[in-house]
Amino acid sequence: MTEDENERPSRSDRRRNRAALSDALPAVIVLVVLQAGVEIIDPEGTANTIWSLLPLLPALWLVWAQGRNLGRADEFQRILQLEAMAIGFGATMVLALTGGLLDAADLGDPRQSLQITFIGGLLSWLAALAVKGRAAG
Amino acid sequence: MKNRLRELRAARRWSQADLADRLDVSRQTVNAIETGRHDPGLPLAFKLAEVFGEPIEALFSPNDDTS
Repeated sequence: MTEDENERPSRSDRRRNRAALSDALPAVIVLVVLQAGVEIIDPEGTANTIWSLLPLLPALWLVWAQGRNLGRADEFQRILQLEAMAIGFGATMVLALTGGLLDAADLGDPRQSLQITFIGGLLSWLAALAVKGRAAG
Repeated sequence: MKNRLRELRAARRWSQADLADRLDVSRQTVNAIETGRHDPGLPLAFKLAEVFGEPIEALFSPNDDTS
């Protein structure tokens, strides 16, 4: 038994990764296409509201995919994922509060704050997952 | 909680991934249990006992400071 054999992912790892990818990848593609469409096409009136909110559908699809991913995880992987999500949630709250405080003081751009909050929360979550995964060996 | 997983696995010349395959868990999970970073729940502990053909109490023992 070599070190490489100890680094090899298990069948459960591979099955879970494949399932996570097949759940989430179509949603990511639809999200990117719709987001690009929202930027290019700009309808008037009510149609604009519906068109602008359309990327929410693949976003909800991603939430569903994440829920399924959590359900497939074994007990230790589930703890890692939930801890990483807790860190991402905390970072999102702090960023949202920062944006709110700046907005209340008439500083900064609310749209920009919202984007930073979203991206910052997402990156914190993914970074926490990567660090915890690496620490777990 | 202390455990004898590494010793029993090595005796069978299994890699962590081999054991993870038998338990249907991630390799990281096996590593975390072996290194004492994670104490398994009862269903996984029973599965470990079944895989190694030993009773649970032969696999796990309390740390000296908690016994």
